[in-house]
Amino acid sequence: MGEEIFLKEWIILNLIGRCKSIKDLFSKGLSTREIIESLSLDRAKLTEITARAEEEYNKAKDLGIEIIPLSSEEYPPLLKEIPDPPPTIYVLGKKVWLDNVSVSVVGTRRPTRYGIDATKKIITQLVENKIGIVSGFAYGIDTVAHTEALKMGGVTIGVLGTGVDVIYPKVNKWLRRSILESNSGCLISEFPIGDEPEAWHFPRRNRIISGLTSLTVVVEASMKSGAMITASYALDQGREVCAVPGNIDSENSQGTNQLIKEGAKPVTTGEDILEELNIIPTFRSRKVIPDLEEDEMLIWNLLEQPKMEEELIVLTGLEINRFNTTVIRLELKGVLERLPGKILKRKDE
Amino acid sequence: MLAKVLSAALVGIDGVLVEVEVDISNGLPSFTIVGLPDQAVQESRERIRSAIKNSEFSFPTKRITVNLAPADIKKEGPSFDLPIGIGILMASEGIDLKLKDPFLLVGELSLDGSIRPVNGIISMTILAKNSHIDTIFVPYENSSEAALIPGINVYGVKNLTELVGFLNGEKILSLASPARAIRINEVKGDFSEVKGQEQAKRALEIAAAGFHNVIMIGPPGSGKTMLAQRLPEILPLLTEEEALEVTKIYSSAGLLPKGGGIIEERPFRSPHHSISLAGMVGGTTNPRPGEISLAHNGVLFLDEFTEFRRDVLEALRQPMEDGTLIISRAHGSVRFPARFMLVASMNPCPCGYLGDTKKACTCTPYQLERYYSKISGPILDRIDIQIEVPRLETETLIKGSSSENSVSIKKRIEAAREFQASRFKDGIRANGLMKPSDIKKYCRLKPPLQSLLREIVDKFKLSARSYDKLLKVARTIADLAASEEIREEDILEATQYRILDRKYWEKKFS
Repeated sequence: MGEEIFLKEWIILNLIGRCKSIKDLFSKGLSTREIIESLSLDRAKLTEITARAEEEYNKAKDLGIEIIPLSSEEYPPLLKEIPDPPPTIYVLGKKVWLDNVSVSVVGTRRPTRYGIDATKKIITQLVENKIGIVSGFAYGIDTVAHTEALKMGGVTIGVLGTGVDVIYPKVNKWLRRSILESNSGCLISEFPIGDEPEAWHFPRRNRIISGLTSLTVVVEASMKSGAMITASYALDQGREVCAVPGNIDSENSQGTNQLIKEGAKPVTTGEDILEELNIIPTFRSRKVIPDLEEDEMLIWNLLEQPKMEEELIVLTGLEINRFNTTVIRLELKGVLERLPGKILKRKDE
Repeated sequence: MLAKVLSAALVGIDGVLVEVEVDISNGLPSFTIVGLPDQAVQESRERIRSAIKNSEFSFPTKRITVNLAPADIKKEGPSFDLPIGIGILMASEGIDLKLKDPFLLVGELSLDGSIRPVNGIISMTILAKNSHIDTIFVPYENSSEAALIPGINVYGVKNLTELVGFLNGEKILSLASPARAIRINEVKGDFSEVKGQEQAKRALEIAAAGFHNVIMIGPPGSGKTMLAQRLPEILPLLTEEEALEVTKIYSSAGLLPKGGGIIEERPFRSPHHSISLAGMVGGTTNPRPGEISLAHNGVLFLDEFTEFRRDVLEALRQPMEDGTLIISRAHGSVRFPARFMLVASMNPCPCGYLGDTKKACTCTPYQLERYYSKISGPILDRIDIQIEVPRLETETLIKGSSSENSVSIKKRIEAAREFQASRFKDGIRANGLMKPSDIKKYCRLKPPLQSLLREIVDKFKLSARSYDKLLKVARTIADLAASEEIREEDILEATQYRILDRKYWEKKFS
């Protein structure tokens, strides 16, 4: 019973929202009641918030959402350290930060092929070394990051800019389901249950993304993007920032290249990040070269990097019908993947 | 006195026999036409009066009644001028008819008595022949067109005097000779001018060989339009039967050039995406052939496929299935032939950069979903070949040196068509036109290939419907190689051409 009252008081604090002052008062050793009092809200307002907190508590119970207060041992330890941690976080799914070291991977909502491939490449190596992936559950790089982590059997945390029960963006419904069903990931948010997406939520949410981990990787970001905001939060929080360098002409690499100029570590592989985390990389034995016929091998060997079919036709010099059948054979063998723009790439297992 | 002559009306693209009855009786001078004439037919009274007078015949100053029977079909246009004029002359005994066999007359009169060309001559000549009428008189400028129909005497007449002279047995007219072939497509260039895009070229070759519908997906500037415009150059010529079908449609739409001619090349129509429903399928109260009929036996190229109005695209469904279009109007329904090969092209996404290696696509998944939902499933089900046409880097363009010209591609296609023709005995003209029952009959697979096909369908998550499409396309690929049986490689290659079935856009972030 005491615990229930205690938690409700934390919810009140979360609804008041003045994260920085609350943390300061908390670290001075004040109890929740004392913190509420010292924030000196007017009576009417406090009554209203108390009623809402009651409601939140019941809703969370009904929906199976866990509310973790700042004081809890289950509260993400790194997030506790930032200047303005949310007084409570709402969690749906498995609390994976308890067993895994994670890094944050963020980037533009409108990635290029390069950004998508870079994200996948880096995440593959991170997941192989049991690193969890934190990202913002938005379109683009975020979606790639979560998806790839799950595909590789890793853990992932999606930090939402809405209430944890709200599906946003709508098209990521499937991703939400696969994170929750995988039992190796969770969705977290500081926003009350049922909170709809608002423009100001997202920059605020970014401090949690960077706050959850000791290192943030920016994959592709234009100068003005949420990913850049996340990077500057990470720096304010005294966390490491890494950036994936890109083409100097590409709009999507302006931000990342700028970060590198300002001293962020340029990373091109997952190993670079592991090194930064002082983790000695272990590598799963690379996939054995599949059993291929002559023509198939010809194409396979040229696919160290993804290539356009048109280019492969020229490089292999195969007759067009022969080329077409060989590509389908490789696809049937499950070693080749086809991407929009007639791009072929080796399928990574 | 009463006179009767035969003429024809055009309903859709078919001729309908019309009996022109002229009665001249005593009474106050008048000139009435009954039997659902439209404005142009009403006005023919004035033309006929002047033409007869100016040809130095006398116009009877009596009560003239003209009936166009059957009276329930709407009569349009000026082609009844000549039969009515001749009818009046016969009834007023200006003609002492020597020709005893039945004959049919069509033509517009000019005020000076000369005869002007009319639309739909071929249909009317076919009608005359089918009604066992031995002789048809047509405007001189239409005569070579009419003479394309064998087994009927076609006389081209220049003016009223000449015709009356012939009917009186005073003059001799020579039979018209058939028209020569004419070109209707603008020549846009040769296939050898398209650098790179070898897969797209191959796909179009297969499409042309089997008369398969094609959709090309690619960013602006990748060469989709260029490729499509070169299709007429590699399509085989029309067969005799097909040529007549096409010429008939063009004749009734009034699209044959002056002097007429027979169309031997396959039509290529590329209407703009702002086209109306009536423009696409044919319309107005007295239906005229629309773009899909003008593309009969040829290509209907729809550039920017997703920009067409939804109802216009949906209207393609029935003709794509049946090869004909039935338009129903208050005065009954009209059938138009519309067996065309659809070649559609579209951007990969609204912004055009999905799949581009350099530039980011700015479309949201929601936009993409909406974009692709514009092409409805039923339409997509009727498209056998779906290909991507990416934008190529200049480097690739230069390296890809093989550029075969249209003539040698056409040779292969013609050979494949002949190969098909020798197989089909029940009127199917190409693989793309096979119905499901025909596919069962003509695309039998050996057991190992059946399991391969099943594996493909499972692996690539293809729909049950694409099973048939794969078989049809595989059949054509085998035909191009002159193989009686569908081989393993034919099925594998056919799989390349089902790109849309594989949920293309969903791969954006994976």
